[in-house]
Amino acid sequence: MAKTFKYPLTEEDKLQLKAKSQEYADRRSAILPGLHIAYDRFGFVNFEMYSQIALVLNIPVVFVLEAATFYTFFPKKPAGKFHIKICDNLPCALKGACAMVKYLEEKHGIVPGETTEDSLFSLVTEECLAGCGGGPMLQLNDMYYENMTPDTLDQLIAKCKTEAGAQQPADLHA
Amino acid sequence: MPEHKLVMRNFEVPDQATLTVYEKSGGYQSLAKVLKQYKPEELVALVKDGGLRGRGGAGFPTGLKWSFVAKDTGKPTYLLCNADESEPGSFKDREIIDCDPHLVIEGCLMACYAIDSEICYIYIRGEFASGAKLLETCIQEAREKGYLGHNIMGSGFNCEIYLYRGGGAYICGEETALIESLEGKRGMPRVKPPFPAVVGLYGCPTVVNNVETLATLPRLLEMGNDAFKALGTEKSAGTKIMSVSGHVAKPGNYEVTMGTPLMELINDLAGGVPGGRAIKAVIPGGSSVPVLPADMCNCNVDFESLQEAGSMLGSGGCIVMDETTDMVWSTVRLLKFYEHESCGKCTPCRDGTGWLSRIFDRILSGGGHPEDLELVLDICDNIEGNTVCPLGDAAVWPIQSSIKHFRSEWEDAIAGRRKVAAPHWEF
Repeated sequence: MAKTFKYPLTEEDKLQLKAKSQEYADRRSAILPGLHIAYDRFGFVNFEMYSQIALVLNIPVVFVLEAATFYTFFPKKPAGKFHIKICDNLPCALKGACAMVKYLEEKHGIVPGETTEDSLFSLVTEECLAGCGGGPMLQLNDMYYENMTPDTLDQLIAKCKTEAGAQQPADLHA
Repeated sequence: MPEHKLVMRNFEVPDQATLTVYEKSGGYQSLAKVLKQYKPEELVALVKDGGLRGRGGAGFPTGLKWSFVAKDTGKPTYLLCNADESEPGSFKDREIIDCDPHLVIEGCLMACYAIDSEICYIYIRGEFASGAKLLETCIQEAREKGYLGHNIMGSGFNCEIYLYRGGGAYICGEETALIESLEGKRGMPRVKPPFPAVVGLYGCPTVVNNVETLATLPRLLEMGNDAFKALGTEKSAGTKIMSVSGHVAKPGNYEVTMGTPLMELINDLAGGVPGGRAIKAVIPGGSSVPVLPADMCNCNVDFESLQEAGSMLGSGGCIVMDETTDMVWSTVRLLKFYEHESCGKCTPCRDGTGWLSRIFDRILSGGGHPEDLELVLDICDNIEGNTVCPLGDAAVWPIQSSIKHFRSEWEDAIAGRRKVAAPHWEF
């Protein structure tokens, strides 16, 4: 009986994963590539996706579960369209990372560990992202933004909102 | 000038990441030279003699590491390029990959040739999405041009490079955890011995080398051992990329000759502490190494000098803290990192970092006990040296050194005479 999935990997995803698994002597090695493919498609990973990865690789799903729960890179619940990671480890903290987190929360209503109601933004504080030379810094989806100031942060948020075609919500700070 | 760019030489050349530009600056010539003039064992001997030491943290001699690879096992040999850079304070590997990716690829191919490996995996941190994309493109370019694949440059040497994206786990920078991760498992370090050179990836002989180490290889071959050794100190040859961060005017990566005075790096190259404030402490080699108070920073950037000073060169992540920094807060912040990144395999590290974390939380909320310092040091003592990998040591060295050098700050915080404060740097 064919199972239907709420979050189905496409045929192309599956072929890509199959091809990737050829690069290793053991197909179990393709679990992380599989998780990356699922994450790129849906912005997070869940058990349904683990099952599909396991089916493609012909391995027990528990192997996928075991790996997925170890690696923090893959969010386990849907993130915002713009997923923000702020490093607040020591080097960035020395340059104002904690103030930046507070600013995002107070000025823009973007709270660590949460996704905004319009599903536009999610924010997590992260361990070192190897951007210490440009602290305070953040990663927005795949891109790094360094030497942030309140101005450049405001501009970045505004740019995201424009890109999403969303209406500017009222200034939460005012 | 202490700054001496070998690896970073072409970082500012426009389009350096393209094969055409890389070739123009002598790219893949070192590989060509090696394939034409050296047998693999000769290359191993040459790198051994050149004194190149691993740039990832431990400083183990690269040629020696290669020489341990088990021969005639009937199994494939693997090279793993460690690009899982996650040590707080270190951001050199990311820049090498972003600025000169072909240099990394050329280094990988040379190392593969030395250890008789036909497969290299570049294990890149999951977060480095743009770097991964760039490397994929470059690998493809190099393959099309015959620099990798079958019968490279007509030499009979075959080699493939594949990119493997990690999942954001600091521990996977430890070589055996990296191997476990590449096998699709949780990144938990293995007990050594057996060492990866004998039993590594899929049970086969494996070498794990850091990005900067590999990127240095083409330069070493190009300039020759004498010129390379002339650059550094007797036991630390060549250059080192130092990632300077924290309270300096010009944070960034600076490649210096080994033996450069630490304060020259901080003041002359990184612009010193801005605002006329004084330096309070420096973590010279990444978050895992012991912190040095300002008056002990009169040492040099090389493996021996920093060890003598009571710290380590590590990965070269130099974190500068000015006089406004609360040493208790900064130490606690680092411990939180290690607690978060502990893989959970060894009890002392898994439970010990948690205990320390809860004691620190209590101190920070004003509930310190007079015996806390001794308790903390006792826990540290029971973690240090009692774990499979060095993460346990890395978690306690910053604490032990912070208490040693800034004891009164700790005592005041514990006694409630002052409130521990996060940095209030203007953002």
